[in-house]
Order: sequence, then structure tokens, then C-alpha cells
Amino acid sequence: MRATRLLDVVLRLYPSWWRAQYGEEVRTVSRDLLADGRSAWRVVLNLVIGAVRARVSGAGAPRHYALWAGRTRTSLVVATLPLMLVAPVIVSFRQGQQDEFPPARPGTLPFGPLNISSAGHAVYYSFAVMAIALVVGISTLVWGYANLAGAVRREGRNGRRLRRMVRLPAVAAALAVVLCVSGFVVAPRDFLIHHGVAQPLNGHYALSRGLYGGAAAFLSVGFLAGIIMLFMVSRQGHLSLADLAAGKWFGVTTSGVLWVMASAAVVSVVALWRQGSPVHATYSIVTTSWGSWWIAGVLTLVGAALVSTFGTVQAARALRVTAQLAPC
Amino acid sequence: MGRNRLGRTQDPTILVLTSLTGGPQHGYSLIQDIEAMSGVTLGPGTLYGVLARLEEEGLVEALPADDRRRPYRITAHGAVVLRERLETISTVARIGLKRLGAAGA
Repeated sequence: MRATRLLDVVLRLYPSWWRAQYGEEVRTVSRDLLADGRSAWRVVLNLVIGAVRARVSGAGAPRHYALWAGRTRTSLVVATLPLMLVAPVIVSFRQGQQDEFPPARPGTLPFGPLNISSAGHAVYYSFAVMAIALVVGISTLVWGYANLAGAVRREGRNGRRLRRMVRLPAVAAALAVVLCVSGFVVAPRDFLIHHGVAQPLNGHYALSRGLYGGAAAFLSVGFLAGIIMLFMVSRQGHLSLADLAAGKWFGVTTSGVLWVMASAAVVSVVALWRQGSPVHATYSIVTTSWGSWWIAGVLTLVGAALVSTFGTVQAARALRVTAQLAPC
Repeated sequence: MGRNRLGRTQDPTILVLTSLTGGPQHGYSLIQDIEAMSGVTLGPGTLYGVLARLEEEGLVEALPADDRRRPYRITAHGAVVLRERLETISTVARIGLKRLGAAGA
């Protein structure tokens, strides 16, 4: 029976402690309701909503230290992941802005356009705020990673696999830096422009491109390894109470940075909206960077800030219970 | 039935506790009793979410399972809490009806 199989799938969405306590009963009651002629999709939808609520609230969860420490770790991952995922979006934002601004003219300041509308100014300063927030955000990620890696290595109960995994992002990032510097060293310095085509006079053009490509590949590997590491830590890692408490402040910083970025993006969009059509606005950072995807970009930032804040609040709540249950 | 223009008026917590005042019941019979009593159909996800919360707060307790159906009963503390809530609701209802009657007269 398809509905019965669907019930089993939906019940897997519930936390394991919940399934152990109520799983069999809920399955029996749901089957009784289906046999009674109730709408299968309503029963399934109600179970899905119930599963989300059970995961979020943790109501009825047994008061075990390991369980609540796990909830704290998972909430911290929820708080952190949005910044990791939106960082590439923000970098694309920055790139578009750099391409868009006109070169400085004699007599003007080298930074920032002078003869632009008030909306353009708002966008320009929003970008500056976003750039600063991005630097703070990346520094926060590096700080958080260094703390987490140290915490995992310090805790003797963590397995060898996790300890190795924790090192991988740093190793990949170090290799990326080495390749990037090597690519810069061997890159051509002088070019001859012939019929509009630049031909290198020295260096190793193909090699430098290859090294830059390798650096990008290692950076991507490090990024993916970082995400996998976070999931591994949330599921099977052991962290001391002090490290969990430090993680809470990391979550607070992460969500704060995301809110600053989201606010800056919203300000720039509102400024352009008030000026007229955002798509055709002069020096439109948002629209020129993301094109017709600008609204998706802004919504992504706001969504990321909301998710990160939710994770931080959940982590703080779970940490409070974890601290009460901590063995002396 | 659970919703009207003023929003959701039937609190599942009150409904479950009120239903249990008639004696211990398992999940399916709770759903049927609440439906007959108030016209509200609780889904299994909602019902067990409420039961988990009430059990955690010590307002209901589970009895030994009978053929994969575990009955629940209201505790003494649950009865006290329910009585307080119902008295508040009753007072509000009495005042509201009185004022409506005065306004209509």
C-alpha cells in the first residue's frame, strides 16, 4: 500500500529519540485514520509539520547530556552554514561592482564616483558596508574554523576520521595559496599588443593559468570539505561545554554579519527602486552584478540572515539545557 | 471548524486535557473524542506533539502499552492546570455573553 509506505518515509523525518518514544503509536494511529477513510495527504502533511516542530522545539526530548549537546552542535551548524553558502554570492556582487565603476578622472578622487545620483551614492556606500561585512565574515569563518579544529583535536573521544577531516580544509586552503602565489610568480609581466591581441613576451602564460585553476580547484575542495566537516561534527563530534559556549558567540557574530549584509543589500535596492526602474539605474551595483537575479540575491541574503539567527537562538536554548545536564 | 474569522479558537492542549478527564485514552480514541466534542480534527503529528509537551510538563502520563496503543491519562497536576484554564475561559465567556446580551437588549 503506497500510503503506508509514505507514512514510514515521513516518520523517518522525526528525531530518533521521538521515533523510539512515539513512532510505533503514531504509525498505528495514522493507519487507523487511513483505514477510517481520512485523506492520506492531510495525514502525511500533518506528520511532516509535526516532524519539523519536533526537531525545532525538542519538546519531550529525554534529558540526556549527549542528546542536548548534539542539538547544540546541529544548531551551531545551522547558524554557520548560511554565511559559508552566501560568501560566493557576495564575492560575485563585489566583482560586478568593480567592473561597473568608471575609472578615476584627473581631478576626482580615485575612490568612488562623484557625479552620480543620491540613489547611486546610497548604493555605493551600501557596497562599502557590504565589503567590510564580507571581510569580517570571512575572518569570522577562519576564526571559527580554527577554534573548531582545535576543539575537535583536544577532545579525546573524537575518532581518527573526524580528526583527519578537520585538517582537510586547512591543507586544501594552504595548497591553494601556494599554487596561487606560484601562478603569480610565473605569470607574464610584459605583453605585446598585436592587432588588438595581447601576446606575452615573458613568463609562462599557460602554466600560470593552470596553477590558478589548480588553486581554484583546491579552494573548492577545501570549501566542500568544510561543509562535510561541519556535518560530521554535528552528527558524531564531541565538544566540551566551553567549546560549545564559544560556538554560540561564533553564531551570534555570523548572524550579525549576515544581517549587516542583508540590510546593505536592501538599502541599495530600495534606493534604486525610489529612483526608478532598478534594472536601468545608473551605477546599479545590484542589478549589474546579478542582472535580473538581483531580487533572488537580496532574498537569499535576507533568508540566510534569518536561518542563521534561528540557528543561533536554537543553539543558545539547547546550550542552556546542555549546561544543566553537564556531568560535574 | 477549528478556524473562524477570529482565527484558531480551539487550543489543542485544552482539548486533549479535557478529553482525558473522561478517563485514559489512546491516540486514535483521543482524535475521535475531540472530534465529537468540539468538531476539531487533530492530525497525528499535532496530537503527539501536544502529548509530548504535556508529558514533559507532567500534565499527562503514559500507561503501559496495549497492542501498540499506549493509553494516556491526566495527572493530578494536569487536572489542576486544566481547571484553572477552564475557569479563566469560562469567566471570559460569561462576561462576553453578558455584554453581548446587554448590547443586544
